[in-house]
Amino acid sequence: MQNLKWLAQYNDNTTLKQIDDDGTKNAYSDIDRSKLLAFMLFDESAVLDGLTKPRFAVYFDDNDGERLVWTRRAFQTVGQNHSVIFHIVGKKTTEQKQGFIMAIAPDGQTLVRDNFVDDGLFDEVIQ
Amino acid sequence: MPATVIINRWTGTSGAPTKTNVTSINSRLNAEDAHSTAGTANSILIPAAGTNYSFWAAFRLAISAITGGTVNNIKWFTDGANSLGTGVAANVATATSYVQATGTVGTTGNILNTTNYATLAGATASAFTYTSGSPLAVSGSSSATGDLGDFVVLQTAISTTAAQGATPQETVTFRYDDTSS
Repeated sequence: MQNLKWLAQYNDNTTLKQIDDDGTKNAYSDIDRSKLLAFMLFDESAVLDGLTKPRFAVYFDDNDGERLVWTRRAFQTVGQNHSVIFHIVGKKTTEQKQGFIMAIAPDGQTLVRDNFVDDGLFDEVIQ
Repeated sequence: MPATVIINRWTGTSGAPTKTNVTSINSRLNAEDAHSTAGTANSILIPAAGTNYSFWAAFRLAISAITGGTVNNIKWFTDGANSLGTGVAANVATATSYVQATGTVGTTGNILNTTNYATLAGATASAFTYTSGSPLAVSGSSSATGDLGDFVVLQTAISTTAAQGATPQETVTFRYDDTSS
């Protein structure tokens, strides 16, 4: 689960993949939130040329893609030769709309909160 | 792909520091300005009165590979429990630049404070006050390879009641966010 890759599905039936089929990498900041319909995370082993097997998907049915939140949150301890990576994904809460934040653990365990909480895992994402 | 981020310990002169990658090895705080995993030649002497210190140890993240994203929101924390033993404390603060550790080799380091380390953010606090739920904030953000963020500067303090020998090992953790492609 540490190698989940994102795909942005737009409301004009186009997509932006984190890594194109030819290997070209697109930046998360390149996502056009004005037409974002869904933000999906795919397992590295899943086929990325379809929308059939996302591990996780966040939909923006109200054309509110600007509320998207995503980052990898890495924990790296001195003396350990690897980092533990959570994916933090969800929708920001606004005055009008309740959001949610998911933390996806390396083993696939998924924790969900209504909003950011300063607990070490669900801390606010800076984007 | 996630960015490749490593943890370096800086030693030596500020003009030509040595950066030792301690991502996969432990790093001992002795009474010398040097990294080692198990060195005992210049251990800290237990004082007859007052407090002796390790030479301070400056840690900093570095990005060795990144594409199309940013690493930011850096935090640092311990497990919250001092397991170093009776009479042994650990103090920490962030700093915006590197200052070589000073002191009397084999006896004690100079105390870590803003007098001896001018770019220290402020007075040190016990490292164990910083936990995963209440971490130390470390300024810094980068979208390129190279050194990343402020330094985390750590020092142990040895009082008269400390026991001889190496202390138990403690673990410290960096946390950061990464949106790279």
